[in-house]
Amino acid sequence: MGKRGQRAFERTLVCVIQALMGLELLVELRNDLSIRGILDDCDNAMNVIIKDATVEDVEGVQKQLPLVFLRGSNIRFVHIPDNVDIMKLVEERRLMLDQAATAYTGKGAPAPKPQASVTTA
Amino acid sequence: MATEEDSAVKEPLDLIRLSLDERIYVKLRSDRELRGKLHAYDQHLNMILGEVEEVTTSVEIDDETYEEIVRTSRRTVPYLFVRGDGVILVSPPLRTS
Repeated sequence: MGKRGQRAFERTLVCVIQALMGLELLVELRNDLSIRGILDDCDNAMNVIIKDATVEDVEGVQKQLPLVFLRGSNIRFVHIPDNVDIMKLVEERRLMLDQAATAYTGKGAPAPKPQASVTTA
Repeated sequence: MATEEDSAVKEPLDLIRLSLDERIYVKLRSDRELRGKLHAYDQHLNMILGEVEEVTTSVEIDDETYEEIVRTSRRTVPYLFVRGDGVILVSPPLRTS
């Protein structure tokens, strides 16, 4: 648990959403729309990019959108798929970020870009 | 998510920490209520709830009789992330319903 809490966003639950990148999930918005699709990216403000999205409104009308950017403040719920081990995913992601950080402070060679955008400020 | 186990209750968020892994009642904006098991929370009141029942309440006013018709709809979700800006209050579950 050494480096946990060094990054500000790791003291919030956004890291749980970020750990679900690449998985299909359902996001419910504050305006009662729901978007089901593959989580492509999530930043520290919970803004998300969802691929191959199906947007459904209260009446059940569906729309297919290949790529959706959703501002995080519009999210009400995120349905987490219940066949995943959340803690394992969060720890794996934290490990990857630690490794990426180590690579950046290395000899100056370009490091592999981590999967998600990590802003530390 | 809870970090060190400090049993002292120093601030309001500590009261929520006491409810970790317990069933809780959450009142949300837009006339919604949740009842579920609290797995995790943070300072924004983002929460992860397990086996959660959501109750949505809507009030319609009849055009002729002007009486209020209160409707509730329920559904259950196995594992839910709740964004904190929608949370009004958190409490141990009430005895009624």
